[in-house]
Amino acid sequence: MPFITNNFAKLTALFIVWTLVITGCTYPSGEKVFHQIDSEVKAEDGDDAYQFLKTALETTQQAEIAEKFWYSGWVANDVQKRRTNSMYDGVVVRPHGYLVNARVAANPYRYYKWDDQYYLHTAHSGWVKLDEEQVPFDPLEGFTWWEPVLQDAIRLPDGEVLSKKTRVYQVMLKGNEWLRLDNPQFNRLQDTIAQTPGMDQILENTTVKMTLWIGDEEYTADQVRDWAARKGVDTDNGAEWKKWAEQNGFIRDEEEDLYRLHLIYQYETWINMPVPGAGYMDQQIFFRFYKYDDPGIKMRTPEEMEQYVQEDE
Amino acid sequence: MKNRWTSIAAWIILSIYLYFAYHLLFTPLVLDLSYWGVMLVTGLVLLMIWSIPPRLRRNVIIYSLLFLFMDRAFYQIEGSEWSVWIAALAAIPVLLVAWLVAWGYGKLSRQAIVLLLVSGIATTLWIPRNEVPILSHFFLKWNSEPVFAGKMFDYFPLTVYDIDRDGTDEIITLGNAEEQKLILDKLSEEEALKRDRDYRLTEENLYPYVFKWNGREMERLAAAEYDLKTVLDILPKDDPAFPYFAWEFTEESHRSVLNPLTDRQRLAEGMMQFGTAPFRAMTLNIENISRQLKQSDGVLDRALQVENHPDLHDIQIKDGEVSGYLKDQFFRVPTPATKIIDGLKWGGGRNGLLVLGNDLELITISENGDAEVTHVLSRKMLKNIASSEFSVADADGDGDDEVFVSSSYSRIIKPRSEGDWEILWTATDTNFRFADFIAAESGENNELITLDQSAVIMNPDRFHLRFLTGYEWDSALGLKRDWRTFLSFIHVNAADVDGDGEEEIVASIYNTHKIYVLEKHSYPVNEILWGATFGLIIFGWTRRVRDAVHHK
Repeated sequence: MPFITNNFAKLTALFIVWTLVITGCTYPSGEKVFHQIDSEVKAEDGDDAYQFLKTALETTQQAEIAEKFWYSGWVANDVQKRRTNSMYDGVVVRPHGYLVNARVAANPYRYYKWDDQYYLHTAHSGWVKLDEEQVPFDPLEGFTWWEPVLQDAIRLPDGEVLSKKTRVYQVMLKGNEWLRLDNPQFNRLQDTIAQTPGMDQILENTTVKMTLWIGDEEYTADQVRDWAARKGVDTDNGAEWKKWAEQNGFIRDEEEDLYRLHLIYQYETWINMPVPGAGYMDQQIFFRFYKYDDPGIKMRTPEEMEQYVQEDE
Repeated sequence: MKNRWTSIAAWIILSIYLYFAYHLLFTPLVLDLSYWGVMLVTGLVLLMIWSIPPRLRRNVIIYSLLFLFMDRAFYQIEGSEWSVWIAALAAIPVLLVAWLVAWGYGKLSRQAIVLLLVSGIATTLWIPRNEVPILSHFFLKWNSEPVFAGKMFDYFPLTVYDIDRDGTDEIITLGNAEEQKLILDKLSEEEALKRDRDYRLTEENLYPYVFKWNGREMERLAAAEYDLKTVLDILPKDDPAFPYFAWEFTEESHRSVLNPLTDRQRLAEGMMQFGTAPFRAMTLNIENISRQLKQSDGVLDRALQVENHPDLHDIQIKDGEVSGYLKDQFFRVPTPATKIIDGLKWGGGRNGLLVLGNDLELITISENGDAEVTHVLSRKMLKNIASSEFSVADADGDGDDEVFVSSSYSRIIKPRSEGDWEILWTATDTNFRFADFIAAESGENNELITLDQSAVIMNPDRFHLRFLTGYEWDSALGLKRDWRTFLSFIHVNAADVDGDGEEEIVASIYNTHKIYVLEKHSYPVNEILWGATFGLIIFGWTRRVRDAVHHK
């Protein structure tokens, strides 16, 4: 009878269903081994780090082509199962200002500065005009604070940041050594540290690892001349564009007839630090700078910002 | 007349079946078995469609699709933060579309249309959609309103503890919803608006929320009814928004405060001095940790008791050493650790204490007070040890404890007398976490409560893809699944909070600040749904056969 075959088919289906459901119910062990994390790095002596960083800072400071750039970065803290991120990305237009699309502890906000005009935006408040700044604008401030420890830097294998060739330098030190560096941030902390019971121990057990990626790009004379032409330099006049190249930090390599350019591309610091009652924190402070001199960088004018403020009120 | 009632009953049964089968059978199958699940569900649906008598087939399919459409639509409305009135308004177009399709396209009878709309609304009002997935193994015994009114923080610590020593645990967490309401009620409209539009980071006052079973529900205890110091002692250490906010506990005013250490403008401007960014981050770290240490007088962690070893007490970590008592015997040992995890019995009667620093250390303490670090699980052996969690329990009941490591690739490990760790089990995915442990009563197996990932959801939001799952430890097979609910929880605790002698599950859902108490039931929901599915198929099929015979 056809009914039996039908029933039989149904029973078979039922059986398959149950087998599937039941076999899905055991979680067998994976391979019973621990990770083997090898943190050894192939490193060379990096005692030229400071000289190299200084050249890059000077270039970034003085060059017309480093006036505008994009940046993105974050501070990520892992404390126990909690990860607290703050993120920052946007554009810098020196000497006027910048735009920050930011997040603090997962809450987004925006901040705009142009000369002496400051605007802040949150989802609740809309755009708000602020009276004055709290920290003066100087994107290169702080890099030289590392100077005393850069003699001990190691040079890691060359890397690429967004397909730009870079030299990579790294410094590792203990928290208490780091805190001894002379800079306004740490100087004003000294009293707090001295007055806090147990803080010495915390800093003794803290480790800091800073890595810098500094551009080591090579340009042919033609490329540099084209760049100069884009900036409106009279390139028919050889002396004129060569002067421009020098002013913008291009270093001529006579032997190979090449121009080298050193800009800061990436900056990362890892802090591994004890937190009371919570194990150790892994904190990453990371910034990347890219598309220097991108003609696409445009910022709104303060007049436009003022309109936003009025709309939001 | 009789026919009419039969038909009404049939539509209602279909609605109820669709509702539960969709949420508790078909969705879990897909979540659990991935492609196999999709194939299986498709097969079952085709089989069901086939079994419907041809004259009813079109109507039943349209009714079912519309019912499920309404289910999804109402779920979206439920998930929004709208007030009741706006939600009711939003439901009108849903009902209108369902009615139009059912009437205009489906040509359903008036009776069927009414039942469709009524049952769609009724199921929504009956059980909130997001609670349906637990019904396969649990009843929702109680849930709180959000205990925190604010947007800056996604969760606060939560634990269960018998704070009034009456033999039944209380639920303890932090919040401010009731207190905030009092403040807001007093504000004028203008003040409230101004407050709402504040762009600054503001301090957040938090108060203990201690819930006790009153025979009907969990009720918040008044501040006078428990000891605040104990509450602050037993709440797990948590650092929300570290290092931007710092805790401050004030015993006198019975509250704790999360104080911002910076503000949005200063933070953005500071970071725009790019070179100073790590120095500024470190400054905040030190300011935050300094506040903690000043409050604790340099004590990194303290435990009056540890959960898993009654003889260990008054333990603290200070000045680079951990000290405490084993029974009456004092012990001390240098350590870089900052956190006391738990006591651990191992090697047939040896006393251990587990502490966490950059590495996990097992300190073995002998009866005469000699203490030394005997086992280390280092940073190099376990990825992301900083964000891992550790707990201790005796899963196999042999008297020696195991360590449950919750991290990407969670593990169960056990100290061996050779000084290394034996791995009993390793997860093969990065999402699996151990949550709690229900100790066996005699004759039963221990139950591990875990948060386990689904086979299909690749949602990067890690809090929404881990489903509450009960396993049994089986040394040969690994983890044997007892049950699973397709709902994600955090802060999962097993405890008897209503004094019935059975352990309930106390948990919260990420970013809701709501507390849930789930009671396990023993109804074979899965079996009933499978039975109903095949019952319906067979019922429909017999009707078909009868129709066919009748037709001849």
